[in-house]
Amino acid sequence: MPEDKTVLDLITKTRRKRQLETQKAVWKTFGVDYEAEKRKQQEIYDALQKRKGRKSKRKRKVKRKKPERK
Amino acid sequence: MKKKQNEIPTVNFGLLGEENYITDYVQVHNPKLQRIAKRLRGKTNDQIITAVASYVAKNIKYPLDRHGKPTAATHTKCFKWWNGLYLTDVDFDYGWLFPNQTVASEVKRGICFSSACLCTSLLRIKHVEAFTVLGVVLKTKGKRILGFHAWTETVKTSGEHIVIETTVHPKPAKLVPAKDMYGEALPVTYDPLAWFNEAGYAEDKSKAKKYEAVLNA
Repeated sequence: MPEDKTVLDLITKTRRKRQLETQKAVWKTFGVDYEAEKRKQQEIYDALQKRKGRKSKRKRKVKRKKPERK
Repeated sequence: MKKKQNEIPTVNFGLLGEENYITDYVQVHNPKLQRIAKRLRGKTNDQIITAVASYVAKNIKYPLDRHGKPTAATHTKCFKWWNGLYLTDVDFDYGWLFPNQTVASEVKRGICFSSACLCTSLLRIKHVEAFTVLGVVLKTKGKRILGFHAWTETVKTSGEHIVIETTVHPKPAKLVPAKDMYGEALPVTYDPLAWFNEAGYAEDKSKAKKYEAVLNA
């Protein structure tokens, strides 16, 4: 890479900064409903948590207690 | 666009942190992309541009995390050693996908750079003049700098340059004349800093210096 500052050097340094703010402004300009996109992710997460909860419940049910020794 | 520079810069944003030429991100010889491009029909540049923009919008989603924040983090595992353990297991907080990775059935997602490079690749396979552009997005009112972005710039049959915003899905974004997108006609203004396709790379160094202080703050 050339020694003086290049656009790619700048991207490397600032890559993750203001990603959300930029994307929200871009989507607003082009008519994308960001809140709906955000809700979709939350719904996916909630569904995953629900499934996870069901699985662990099933595991707990299968576990049997050892009979106590007298 | 500035004059192409002789030295092609490299970036190390690959899945394994590997280094690649920036021009490698426009893949015109990839067999899968060539097959996709073959299916996208159009007689004129305008028809091809519409078909490519629709394909990208319909098939590629923008990756958001569960909090609704853009995510470009990657985690790659290979060479299984034992139950969940791999000899190579690397993760990065930021990564770029090649167009053929973006269209892989297990992925079908990409941040602005990845979807723009896919769009540029498909247009270049169809012999339409196109570039991936790296630039800054500003609020038109007040000129506040928002952050970095990438998009595709292409040329219509009439010779007019237009911007394809590739992060909008499932319906494609309205194709905006480059003079409007760069010329403060919309609520946000795109300021191009670098242009590339498979044939070369060009950048505006003076703009990089101008934005450095603000973006690093």
